Amino acid sequence: MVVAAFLFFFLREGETPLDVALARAGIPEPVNERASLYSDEEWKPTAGADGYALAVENDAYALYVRPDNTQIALADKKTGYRWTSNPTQEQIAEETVKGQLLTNLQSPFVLTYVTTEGKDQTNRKAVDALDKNLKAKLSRSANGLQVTYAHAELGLTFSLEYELTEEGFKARIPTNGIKEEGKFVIFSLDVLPFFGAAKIGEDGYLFVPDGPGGLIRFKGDRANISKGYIHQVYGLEPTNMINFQRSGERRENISYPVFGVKRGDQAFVAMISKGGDSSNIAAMPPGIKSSFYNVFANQIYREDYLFMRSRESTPVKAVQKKRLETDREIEYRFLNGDKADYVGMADAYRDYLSDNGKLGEPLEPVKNIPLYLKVMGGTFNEAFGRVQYFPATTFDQATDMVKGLQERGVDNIEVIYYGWQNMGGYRLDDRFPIEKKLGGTAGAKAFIDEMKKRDIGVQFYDDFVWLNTANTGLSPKSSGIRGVDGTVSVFEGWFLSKPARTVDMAYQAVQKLKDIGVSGILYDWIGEMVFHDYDPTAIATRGDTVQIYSGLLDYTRKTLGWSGVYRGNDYTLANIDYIMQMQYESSFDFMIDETVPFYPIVVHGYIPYSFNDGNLRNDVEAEFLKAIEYGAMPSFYLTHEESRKLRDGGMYFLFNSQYEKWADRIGVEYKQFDQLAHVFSQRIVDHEKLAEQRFATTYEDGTRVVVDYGNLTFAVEKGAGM
Amino acid sequence: MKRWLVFLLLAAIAVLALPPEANARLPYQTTYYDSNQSYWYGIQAIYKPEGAYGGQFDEPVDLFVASDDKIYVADKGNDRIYVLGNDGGALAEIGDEEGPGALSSPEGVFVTADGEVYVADSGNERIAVFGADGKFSREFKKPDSPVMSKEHFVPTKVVVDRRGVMYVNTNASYQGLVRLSPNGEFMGYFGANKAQQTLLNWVKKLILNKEQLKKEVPGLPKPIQNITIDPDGFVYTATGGSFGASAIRKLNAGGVDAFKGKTFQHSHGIQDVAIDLNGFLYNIDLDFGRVTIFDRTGDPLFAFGFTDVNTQQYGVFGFPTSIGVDTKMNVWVTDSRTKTIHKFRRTEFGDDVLKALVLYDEGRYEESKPYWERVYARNEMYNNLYIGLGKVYLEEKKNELALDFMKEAYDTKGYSKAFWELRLDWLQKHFLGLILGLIAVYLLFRAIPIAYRKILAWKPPSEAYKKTLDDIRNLGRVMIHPYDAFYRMKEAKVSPWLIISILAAVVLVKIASIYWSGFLINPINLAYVDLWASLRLFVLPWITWIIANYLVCSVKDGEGKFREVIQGSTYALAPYLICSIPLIILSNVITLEESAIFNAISAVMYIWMAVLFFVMTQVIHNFEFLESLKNIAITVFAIGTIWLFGFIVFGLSYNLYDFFNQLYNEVIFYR
Repeated sequence: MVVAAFLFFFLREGETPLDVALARAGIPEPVNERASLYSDEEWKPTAGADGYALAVENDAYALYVRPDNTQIALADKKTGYRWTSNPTQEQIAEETVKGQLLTNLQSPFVLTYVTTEGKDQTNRKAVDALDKNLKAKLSRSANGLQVTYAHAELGLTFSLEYELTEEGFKARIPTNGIKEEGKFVIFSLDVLPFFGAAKIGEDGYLFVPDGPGGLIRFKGDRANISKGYIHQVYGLEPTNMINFQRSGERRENISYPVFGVKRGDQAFVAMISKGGDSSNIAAMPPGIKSSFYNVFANQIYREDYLFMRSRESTPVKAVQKKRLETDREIEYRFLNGDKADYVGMADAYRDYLSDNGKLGEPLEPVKNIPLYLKVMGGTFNEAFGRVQYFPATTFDQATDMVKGLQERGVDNIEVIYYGWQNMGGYRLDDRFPIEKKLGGTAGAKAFIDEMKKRDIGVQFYDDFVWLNTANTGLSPKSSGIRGVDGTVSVFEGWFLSKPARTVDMAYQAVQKLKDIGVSGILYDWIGEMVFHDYDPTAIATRGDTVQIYSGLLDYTRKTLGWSGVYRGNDYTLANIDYIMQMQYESSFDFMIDETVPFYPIVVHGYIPYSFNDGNLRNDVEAEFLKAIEYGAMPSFYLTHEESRKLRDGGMYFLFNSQYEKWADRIGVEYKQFDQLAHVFSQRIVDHEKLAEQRFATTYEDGTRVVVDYGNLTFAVEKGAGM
Repeated sequence: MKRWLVFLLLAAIAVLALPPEANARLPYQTTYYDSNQSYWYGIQAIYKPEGAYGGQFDEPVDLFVASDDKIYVADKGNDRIYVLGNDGGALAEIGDEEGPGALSSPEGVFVTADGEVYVADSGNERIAVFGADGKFSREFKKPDSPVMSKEHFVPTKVVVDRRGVMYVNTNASYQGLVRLSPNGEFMGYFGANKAQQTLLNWVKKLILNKEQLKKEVPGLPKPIQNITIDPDGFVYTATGGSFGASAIRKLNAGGVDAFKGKTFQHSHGIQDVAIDLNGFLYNIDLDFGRVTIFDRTGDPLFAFGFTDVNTQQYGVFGFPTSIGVDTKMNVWVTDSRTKTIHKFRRTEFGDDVLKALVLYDEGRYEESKPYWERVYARNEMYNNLYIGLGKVYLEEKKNELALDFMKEAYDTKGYSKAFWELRLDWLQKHFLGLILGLIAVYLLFRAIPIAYRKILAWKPPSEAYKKTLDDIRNLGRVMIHPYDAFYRMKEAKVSPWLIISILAAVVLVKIASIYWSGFLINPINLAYVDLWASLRLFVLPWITWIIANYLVCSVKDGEGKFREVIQGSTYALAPYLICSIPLIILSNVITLEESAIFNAISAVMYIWMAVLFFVMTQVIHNFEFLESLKNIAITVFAIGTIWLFGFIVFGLSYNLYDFFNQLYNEVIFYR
């Protein structure tokens, strides 16, 4: 009996323990840093004539607070401009909304609370600083102010800290300061919701992180249509079934937790520096909650989830019991004059990233612009219990492809190979040996050696995140992430791998690929999706997922030399060499008036990125011009076989990929892209709209790229040099 | 439970959307309909969202695109008709504050060629007419007619033909459209939907008496949802329900549906239909929440758009109510939830593909070529492309290319034409060779029996060998003299090895016919052939026949032994064995028109086999003619019973297995 149990244990457990998996790749266990609170000593200021009292100041800024309602104001010492957390008394007097909405408008926060017991769990109520039962206690540090709000009746306490910096200030909600002592708990918290709120008709805009960057002008005629913009950073939580109720919604998930406001020649940009993964960014038009335009971060502390009493019954909505115990911090940086626009905001965000080690080194200049050549090796198809591999491009054919492109003048190529796994990755956790029909390991080696001679990097694509119960030996129980109710989230047989298991699989692949000479891995999903894991034995947050993913990218880069991701969420930026399919289009929201290349401005010169593959565009000319305007690299997704043949192999998304059909066209398009080779390593310093269909992008050395969508042309005006 | 199912379904859809897509992300996926696979596949955008207009609306429910491309929107909430320019900017409002020109909950609007605006003024129970200047001109109240005396007259939609005759759709009316003369006189009802005939109604009619029938709720025709008229005067009606059957009807002056009750895809919840300049149809459907484009015959081409109750995106509807197409082929959709009208612009790709389709439809293949080629340069998956280019190549006499393309599209008609041309070419070039070859084959076949006999004469076979040869020869004899041959066999014991060989040969021939039959006879993708399933369906009936035949006949005093039944049933397959190979060869050289020959030969083959099975039963069991007919009927019934029983056992045990499997998964994997 004992022997049998022992045997069973050994035969079953082929899986690496998760902590071992992390340790092998040299990735530290995720840590959740918690800021400590200020000392208890209360500070009781007296207000000046305008109602404000000076709290703290440094060389550049002074922070004021109103002792009566805890509103704050930030004065820029250089310009004398004052940003306030709320509209002025005069504006409040004119306001048309009443009741709670009116008091919200005068508060530096709005807290939404719920109860996790009984029937009324979906009943949300809000409380703000003007609530009579709320007590605010001020205390100070050398460069900061802490306001502790305590609501005796609700039993809720939390602290809001403001800390001055050289560029502005940080607003922080330390998790240590949150106390839930009654029946009620915090659901979410809006921090400084009306900071910099603007009226219709003012000159300026709200900036929101929609696609590459979205502007909302202070226009007056949108009230009837738009209900506002409120979206979670890095997308909705995939473990939560509620989020699938609005299925089919297609939009560009937020890749970077940044928002901002421009008013006249003043602007600020706000970066969520802690807890961005659990925040919503919200922008409201007038007519919904007030008569102002405002943008802010809404901090999520709990989720609604569907609680299943039994398999058959309809699930009930419930609120998560345990609070997400992470610090939240938003860093505001202020801009004025020429810098007070979205280009300035992008600059400030780039500075913020490099100050904090979240952006890698600048790129080295290149002679020719790199062309990212995605090669589809092939895939499997399943029919009638048979699984067969359907090759689309063998290693030999890929060699010919590269040679052909070089003959056509494509002088800098990076290859990314898809579908190289045994049976094209049919067994999701069993990738090796490299598919025989493509040429096997020997074929791969020969291909890579040939490419090395030509100074071309060969990267392999893989997905280590989605697993399927049918096609893997890994059990959902030990490797799948779990929803709030503690069960593994399985979607039609598919489940998400625990981040540590992802590392485990990737580590094994990296070790083997290194021997073959592969120079990097393009990771699917790592750069675009994060999630909680409510495994009762070890609860992990989206923040933990972010940390492990960054570690994996770092490990891959150190071991192989190159790592790449899709979409390129901001947490990957420090450790990647390439972003595939970076966002370049808006989500087509009613709310967004203009789409601007905010994220490209941040990233250009640091990480090369490409948009939609050149042979798979929706709109051939416009998307090409967009790539030129936004400084993207050319990329093509090719096969040796005719696309039509690929459909039977399940590659129906490659609707136009045959190399032979594309070789000449690629040669021509590459020459156009190559006109921008000299700005490859430069930052974008300006971007402007010249006319309705004409845009100009300016680089460090003064090179100006003018793109005209009207007559479908572009011109490169070379700069004088740096 | 049902809600739970819907929930699961939604989750499933969400997951389907998960794999990375190559397309830039519009808020919706555009799809095309592949008629061969009856499946919608993704494609580049045919239409892109251009914008959503109208902060002034309250409840836009109908729109009309005038001939000058101005958009007229009936706003039920604001009691107004709004006129918008083609850029979505407000131009004018129709409907006075008070007086005879005041509207009340208008639900339909129509503008004539000379600019007169007809409004279905539901609240005022009239058709209100405004001049091109927007001034109230006249009204048509309920017509004075005995037919209509009992009916309410609540117009919801109106169209006007060139003579000024109005077709008015009234609220929830099952009698069809009210046709009014230019002066407002009642001209009769027009184009009512057919009442639904269900099986239950039919049974009721048979069983119930008159009194009982009176108490039954009569099966009323479904009311028409929306109407449109085209320049030729055809009236199109949109009617929801019935999973798209007769969802769009194209009615001529006599009220006859040119689509003949066709079933339309994506039309169970149809709200409205529009016609473009080329006669292509565009519907908007609540169930699918998408706009679907159909060709002139009503076959689906593309679908785009999406519906989401909480929409905040261009191109995504909240509650779409009406659709229109302007002369620049922009699509306009009213949306009463977001209180806007959405505008969609055709993409360059969409322009090419739809132009190609129009030209193809009109048979102008040569003109369609540049468009098809541009589509081909950007998408190799789209199925109609292959038919379109195939037709072009056929006309250009590039028959081999045409053959390729037609085969790719599984278009047997086009393939057959190209094949005919190619065959003619081949025959002209190789006529002499063919004749010589045929003569050679003929001579060879003549020579074999002679040689065979000579060999036998030269070296007589041993007794056992001779018997086997005789048994083999019996296979031929069975076909021509079945009674005689089966009698002989009754006495003789055929070697089991021979039986097995014959059966193996039959299976091999079957496999050959699956894989080597000509494309025109067997137009399928061979990669998707499920060989085992085909063979199962081929072998199992034969086996059950043997069992049933033996069991039934032994109960009914048949003489046959089990071995004899097997022997006989094997020999009865002789026609299949002999005819199939010529049939396979034939299927590779005939065109579609000649397939009658093929079909005739195979029919003869099957009848022949049936006769043999009959004779076999009669001879082996020593039945009379009628007796054997009766017993064969019982045998067939027995076969059915065996199968039914098999299905039930299989189904139940599968359920049991599934239950335990689910339980196991639940415990082991997810908790």
